[in-house]
Amino acid sequence: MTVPPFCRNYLQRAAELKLRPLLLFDYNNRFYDHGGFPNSPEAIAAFARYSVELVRQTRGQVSMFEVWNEWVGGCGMSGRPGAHDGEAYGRLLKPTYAAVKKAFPGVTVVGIGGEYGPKCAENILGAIRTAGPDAMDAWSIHPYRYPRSPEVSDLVGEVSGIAAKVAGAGAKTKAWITEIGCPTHRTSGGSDGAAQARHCVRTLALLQSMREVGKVFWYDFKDDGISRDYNEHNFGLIHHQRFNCAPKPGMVAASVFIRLTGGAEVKGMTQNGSIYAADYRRPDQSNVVVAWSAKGTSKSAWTGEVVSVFDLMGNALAVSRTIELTENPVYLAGRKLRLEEGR
Amino acid sequence: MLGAGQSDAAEAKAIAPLAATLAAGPAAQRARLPDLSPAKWIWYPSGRTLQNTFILFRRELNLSGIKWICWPPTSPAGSSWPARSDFVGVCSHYGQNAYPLETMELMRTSGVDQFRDEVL
Repeated sequence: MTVPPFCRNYLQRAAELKLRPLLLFDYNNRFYDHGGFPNSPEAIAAFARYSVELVRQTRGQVSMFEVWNEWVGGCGMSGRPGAHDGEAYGRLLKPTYAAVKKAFPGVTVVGIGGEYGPKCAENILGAIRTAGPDAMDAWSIHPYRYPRSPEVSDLVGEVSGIAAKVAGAGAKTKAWITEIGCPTHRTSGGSDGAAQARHCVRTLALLQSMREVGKVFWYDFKDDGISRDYNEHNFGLIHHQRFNCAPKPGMVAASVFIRLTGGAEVKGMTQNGSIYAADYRRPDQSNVVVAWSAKGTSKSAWTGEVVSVFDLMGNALAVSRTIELTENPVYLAGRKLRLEEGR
Repeated sequence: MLGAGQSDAAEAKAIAPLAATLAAGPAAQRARLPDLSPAKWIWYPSGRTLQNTFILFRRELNLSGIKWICWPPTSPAGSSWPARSDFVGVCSHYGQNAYPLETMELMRTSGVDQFRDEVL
């Protein structure tokens, strides 16, 4: 295999900008198993060789890889033959992981390939049964729930439950959320741009406060088309190039979240009624709190020194120890900030 | 309404009653009509116009001379922290040749320095 020139170009540009790609090992090969899911020993061995070769050809530019994408769901494989349950995935994962790590021990290989749906945990356990619990440096899921909010849909509870089962099967690695998003199409299941923005930040804060989650990759960066009625065209944080890639509110909100929490360590999440408060500690021991009300408006009182307050879009707000919280998260920066009990 | 010669034959026929009315008006009235070309009718008028009728025009603008419209804010006041996060990334489709390469700079500007993609 050879990396196509346009892919070389984007990987080169990413390296110049010091961006860190997570690349998929995907998908079928028309020379094996009739172009279907790699099930046979020959097809699996070929997939492992391809994976090693992709790592070799992108060495120095890419250090994170994920084995397949949505294997059980059959993403990109519609109508193609072959078993694609959890056990079949595990039979592919085990030799692929072993081959890549033997050749390039320093790279990160993410297993499971973004499992999702009501049988998510069951499918992951099936993969672990055939691959073993140590055949991945992290495991990935895609817990979409749009247009429901992360709190109403119990995102934390769902991910915690899956993580507990995976840990119970012997895996010691963290979950990577390699897809989650909130499209802004105008038909059923869509959200407006403001809802996408607030759900994005609340999703990031909730997941980061979980010890079981290592990374979140928001789906996706840019709208993939211009049909306003089609969800797949409206997941982006920025608009399609036909609209000059103008940012949606979600892009600004995500950018503010990164700027205010990047480099800080999350210390935990406090929930008091409908109020949520994620506490981040900076290296200088100051802290930033991301706070919101999941339902309605709630007054919150804070102890400690409030130095600055920002809204979801990064606008400075009046500094106060009493903040009215809404569904749009705000940021409090200061020292020893703590939500007062019973408020 | 429309600039001279901007409508096709079918449109010309559809707006003929209105056009005739306008043509019969004072020359000064015709002179005040705005030239909205190359806008085209997206709703054809009926033979009569009610008092509360709204007439909508759509005009497509070519913004090709603008590289990008606007971009996320600089760091909020008081934030001196690095614009990057080891926790947050985005998914993209550079590997499907569906993303202009220039968007990578926008990604970096926004503080995102991890992205999930593929090589096809």
